[in-house]
Amino acid sequence: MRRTLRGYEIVEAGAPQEALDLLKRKPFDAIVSDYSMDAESDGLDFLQLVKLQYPATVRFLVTASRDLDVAMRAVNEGAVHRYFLKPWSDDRLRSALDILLHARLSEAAS
Amino acid sequence: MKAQLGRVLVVDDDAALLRVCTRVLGGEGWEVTMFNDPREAIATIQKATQPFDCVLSDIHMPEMDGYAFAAAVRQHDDDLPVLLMTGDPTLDGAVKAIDTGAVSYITKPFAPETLGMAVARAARRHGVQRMRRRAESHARALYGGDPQESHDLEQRFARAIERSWMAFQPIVDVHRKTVFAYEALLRTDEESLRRTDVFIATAERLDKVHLLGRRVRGAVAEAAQDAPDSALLFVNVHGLELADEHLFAEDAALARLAPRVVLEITERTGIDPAAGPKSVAMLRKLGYRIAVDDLGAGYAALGALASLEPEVVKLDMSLIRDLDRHPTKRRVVSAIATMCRELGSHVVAEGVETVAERDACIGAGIGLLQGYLYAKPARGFAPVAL
Repeated sequence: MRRTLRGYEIVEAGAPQEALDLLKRKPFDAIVSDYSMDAESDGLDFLQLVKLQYPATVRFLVTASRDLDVAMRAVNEGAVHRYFLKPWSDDRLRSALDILLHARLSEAAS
Repeated sequence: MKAQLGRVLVVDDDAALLRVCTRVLGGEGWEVTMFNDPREAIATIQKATQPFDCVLSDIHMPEMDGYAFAAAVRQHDDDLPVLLMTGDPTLDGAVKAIDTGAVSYITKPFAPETLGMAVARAARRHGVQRMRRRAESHARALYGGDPQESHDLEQRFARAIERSWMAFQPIVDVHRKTVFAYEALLRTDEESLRRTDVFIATAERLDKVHLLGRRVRGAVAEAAQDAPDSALLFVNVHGLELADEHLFAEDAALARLAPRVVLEITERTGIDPAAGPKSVAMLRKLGYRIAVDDLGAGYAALGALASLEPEVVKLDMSLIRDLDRHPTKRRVVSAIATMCRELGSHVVAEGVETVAERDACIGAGIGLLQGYLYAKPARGFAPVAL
């Protein structure tokens, strides 16, 4: 992931709470979260919370799950901008991130 | 002719399905415009003088598939929500729906309620989005520069807090002919944040939900001095506030009134499923009672019924609207009311606007009613003629 996202400043968090604490301290442009978490919540719950608190953040979910229900939840809850099934293409993830961040920036500047 | 909820554009190459959508959505109060060719639909969206509130499209269509259609719609208007329907749901299809920015992936055949709820949700989100943009461009006009700049937003928010006040709306007990409770509702005289959903969204964005909640609780405690002793007070609590220790402080102003306060919690604002029940148990220890708000507005609140065991359940106004005219809705509402009573919860119907809706609620076994039929939210505790 670090290689894919070369050029961006990257901060890692091991758990949702850790990520939320980081977000409280400084703004982030984008979040890439795994779906599976150790705790009782999952990546979609986490990104939903991020969406509520920091709606301008670009949110990606990556997952090994082939569960249709998870993907449907992702659409219907509207908490993610992109959904990547493992194994994903690094190029596609990178370019999707570049495009979305660029769109945000130009929107803010206009 | 009743007031329309808004405008929905529906595209499907299947004429029978178009008719179903029109019947269901039309029956709920939406103005529906149908197309069987997505290209014509796009042309209409582009030249529409009256904007649409959301767009519903099939995925498998011969001329242009739903994904290409959704992309074309969003190219024209990035804020216009697109809901996709399919008779053949797949993992790749759902992922593609996300990529095109669709807000819903609905599988056919669907229950009428499912479609109605999905459309209402999408349109509501669209409304909030539009308000945000309007507030932002308003700010841009006033202050110039970058509307996102948090400085400006923080200033407006600070003003909104300073100029905030509580309105109260009665919840009446139709059988006892008394006011059962008053719900406290946040208001502000700061023009750009006058809409409560925008005010709250701004608090979320600035990470000031706790601050806002403390202000609300303080203001309610102050106003409560004038409240009739016999009535309870309903106070809204944002899901994020369950992480604010001030809410659990025994010496806080509202905590002193806890036995007559019902805290309304809505799952829409993201209750932490693990911490929620624990927080609620602590609030009960302080003497508060708990209401689950907006049941029926989404599909989340049902979980809260089981995990929070609320003393009161409030049915969302989308369930109550035109209850007298929809037998299916009546059955749903009456079944929910029965279930809540069996779980030991009082049931309140929100958004009762007509005598016919009132009678339908009573017929469904609901005796606690709130809505414009009785009183609009207002300063102070006006008596209600019953």
